[in-house]
Amino acid sequence: MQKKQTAVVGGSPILPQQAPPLRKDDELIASFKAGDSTAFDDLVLKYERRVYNHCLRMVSDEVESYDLAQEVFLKVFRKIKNYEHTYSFYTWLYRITVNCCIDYLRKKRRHIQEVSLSSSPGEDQGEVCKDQDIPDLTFIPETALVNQELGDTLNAAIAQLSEKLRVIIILKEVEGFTYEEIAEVLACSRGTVKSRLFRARERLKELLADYMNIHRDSAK
Amino acid sequence: MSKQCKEYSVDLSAYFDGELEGEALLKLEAHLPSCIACRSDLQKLQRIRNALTSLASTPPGKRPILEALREKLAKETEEDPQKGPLVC
Repeated sequence: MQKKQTAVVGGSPILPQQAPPLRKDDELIASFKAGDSTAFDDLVLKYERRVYNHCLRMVSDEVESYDLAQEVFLKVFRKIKNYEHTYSFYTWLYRITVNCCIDYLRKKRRHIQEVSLSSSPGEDQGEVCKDQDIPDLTFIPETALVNQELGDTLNAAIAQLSEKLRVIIILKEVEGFTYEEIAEVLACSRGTVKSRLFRARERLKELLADYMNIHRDSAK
Repeated sequence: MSKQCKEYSVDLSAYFDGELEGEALLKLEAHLPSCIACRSDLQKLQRIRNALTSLASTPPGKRPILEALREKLAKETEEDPQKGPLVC
């Protein structure tokens, strides 16, 4: 049997770094409930990037996504005592994340509508829309498809989907959830997941038609 | 796309995800070898998937979320000790 060699620098051996084994979600939750506050920190560290990225895809705003991700974990912190193991923690966390994003988008849309209704016809409404940056209302597809990088193009296409279609395409294509998991997160039937995904993809095919024509040959 | 293909389109999306079962799966698998339009549609779905999975994961900007969260929770605990980190 060959003996493993250990590098030596300055007289001290450098031992291969070993990451501490990751604790499972259920163990972390149990520890937290038992009074170990560092277990909650571990849950946040484990999922913060995924939660933040989901928010970013949903609301297309880094600052808002950062705040939303905090809100998600605050809710998790407050509700974790009621968490039941009917679903995995991951699914439960995503349900909270999705709801936070949808609430945010609805509030934002309502606010825009109120501002729009309360403005007199002479006011510069274009400036108001620009400040609020609602992707569904202000986006110009032709400009993005032709001029922006791939990432921007895709994010712009996602941003043009309705909230329902946006969330389902993110859960499926970005997060890789199964239909059953998506149905649990969204509290809907598997059939609804199936039909909404179909609609989301039909819409994306339209929005990404230029991109798909350009990349058709390279995909073969 | 023919009328028959349109009937398959929702199932095609589920088939692409590996989520089609039973009779629907058998029917679609019998249809696919003879249908260029449906096979082309599957390729489009794959291109969309390739593109979307290439979206980079972005780390939260500013500072770690945990740090900001700790501050908020500490503030809450100050205002209402019942909400303290160890009260669950």
